[in-house]
Parts: sequence; structure tokens; C-alpha cells
Amino acid sequence: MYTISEENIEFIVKDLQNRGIETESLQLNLLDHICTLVEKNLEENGDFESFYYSAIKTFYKKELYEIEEATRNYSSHKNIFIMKKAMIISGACSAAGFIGGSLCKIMLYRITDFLLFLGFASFVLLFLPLLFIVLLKDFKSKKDLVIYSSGTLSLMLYFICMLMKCLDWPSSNMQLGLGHLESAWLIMWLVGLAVGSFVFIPSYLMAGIRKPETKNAAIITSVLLIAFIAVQFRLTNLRPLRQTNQHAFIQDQPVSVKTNQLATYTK
Amino acid sequence: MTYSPELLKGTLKTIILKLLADNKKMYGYEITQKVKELTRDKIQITEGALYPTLHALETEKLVTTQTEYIGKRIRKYYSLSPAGKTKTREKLSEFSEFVNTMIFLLDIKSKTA
Repeated sequence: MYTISEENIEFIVKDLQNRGIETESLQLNLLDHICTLVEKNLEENGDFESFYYSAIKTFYKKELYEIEEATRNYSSHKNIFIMKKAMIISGACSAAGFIGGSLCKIMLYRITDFLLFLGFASFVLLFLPLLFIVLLKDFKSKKDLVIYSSGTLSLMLYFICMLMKCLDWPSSNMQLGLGHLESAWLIMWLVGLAVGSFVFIPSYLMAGIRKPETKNAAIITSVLLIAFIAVQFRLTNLRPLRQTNQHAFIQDQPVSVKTNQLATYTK
Repeated sequence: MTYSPELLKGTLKTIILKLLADNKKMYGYEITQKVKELTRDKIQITEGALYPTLHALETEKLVTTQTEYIGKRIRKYYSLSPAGKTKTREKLSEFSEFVNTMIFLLDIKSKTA
């Protein structure tokens, strides 16, 4: 029976690392496996290195890195599974927030803003990024990456702006006022619409019409999206405002305080 | 005769879980040798299939591990977790049903009779 020396262990570890085995637990397992194999099959005065090289060849088809890759794939599958669960939960929270918020708005309940905020926040900050990551592994080309990343970015910007608008946060006016507080909101809004119009829709349409099975769906969806973006863009006033300081100040305030302020100014 | 890896695909987890259910704790090399011994060399689990599967079982919390120093190296022992015990029963029952279905589907009984 061959006795494994410290040098032998160092040799194996170094070779495993050179062959791309980086996961620590896998390294430990393979080291112990090889050592046991050597101890049980190599004679006391046998040639360690030649036995090692012939034994390690039986571990793989093309290269040892296959084991590392397979191990990592299992881990990423597990991560994707967890992310899918989180995505479904955040999607449900988002839907509940939107529906609950809308119902409370009809009933004029004070909790409306909170529910809408919950709906928008879970949709923008959790659901959309998780959806993108989950779909990422199925991307077959750079075109897919362009379509999905531009679509996600556009939707995120659109919904962030909508969140500010629905909750009536200051500086969320659909009017151009560079230099005023609303400029950041407006830039986000326009970038969202522009990415959707000039990156997402063309790349989505081009990819869709090339396949006979998706051609009609791509054309119809693109037309609907163009119409939707055109309406949103129509709602945006790009002309500089001619307003007095009083009006500008009132415009930047939430609706709840506008009435009181207007009453004060008109006195 | 050794069975092809394609035939063994999908059964590896069940094999490992059952071995761990029958033995208190096992390490990688021991598992491969036990399978060889029990099947008289008909099934040989490769290292490339064994360790990623053990890693997956560990990530799924179906097995627990404990380490032991063997000279200068570390040996990792695997044993079933409570969730793993339940999963083993499920897997065995599922596999048993699968075998029966395959026997019926491929009409193996009537041909061998």
C-alpha cells in the first residue's frame, strides 16, 4: 500500500487548480478520492505521478473542468429556482398592491398611496430585475440581450416615473423645465420612452418578423407599443413654461397642499 | 456488461440517497466502490457524475456533511438529513412505479416468459 506524502498532496492540489477546479468542496472531495485511489491501488514503491495521470484521465471525457462546470450548473440552477420563487412572490405583491391601491382609491381610503407604492416598488425593484435575470440564461444571442435589457430598462424608468406621478411627488410634471426640479423626472421619463421607441421596438420587431411563427404577433405588438408610447409622448409638454414664480412653486407641491396654497395666493 | 451512462442518467440521485439511507455515513470513493460491489461492476458511477450530484444534494439540503482529517487531507462524509429521508422514500416509490410502467410499456414480461 502506497503512503501519500505531503508533497503528493501539494502536487494533486496544484494540478487540480491548474485544470480549473476552483470550488473548494469539490477540490477537497477530488483530493480525498484520488488519495484513496492511490493508497488502495498503488504498490508501496510505485510511480505516483504516472499512476496519478492515468487515474485522473478516467474522471472525465474531454477535460477535468467538466466536473467543475457541472457542479457550478447545479448551484446556478438552485439560484435560478430561488429567484423564480422570489419573482413570483414579488409579482403577487405587486399585483396585490396595484389592485388594492386602485380599490382603495375608489373608496377614497388613505392607504391608497401606500398600496400603490408597494405595487410599484415591488414591480420595479424586484419583479422586473428578477425576471431579467431568470430569462438571462435562455438568451441565445446578443440580440436577445439587447431586446430584454432595453425592454426592462424602459419599463423600469416608465414605472418609476409613473410611481412619482401617481403619488404626486414634487417635480413630477409632464412639462419641460430644465433647470427646475422636474428636469430629473422628465429626463427619466423621456429616456424611458426613447429606449422603448428606438431600441426595444425596432430590435423586437426585427427579431420577430424573421420567424414565420412570431411574425404576426411581433407586428401587432409593435404597433400597439408604438401607439402606447405615442400617447405617452403626446402627454408630455416639451415647450418651455411661461409661468410666474408663484405658479411654478404651486406646481411643485403635492395636490393635497395645492388647494390650500391657491386659496392663500388668491386672497 | 456495464450499463451506459445514458441509462443511468436521472437515477443517480436515487442511488446515492438509497445508499446513504442504508449506511449511516459515506464518502465519495466509498459510494463508487459500494455501487460497483453491489451491482458486480454493472454500474460504475464516474467521479464526474458523482461529485456534482453530491453537491446538488447538499445544496438542496437533502444530505448533511461532516469532515474528518485523514492525515494531511480532509475527508467529507455525507449522511441523510430528515428532508433527505423523506425524499428517498418519494424517489424510491417514484422509481418503482417507473420500472413497472417501463416493463408494461416495453412488454418485457411477455417476451422474457
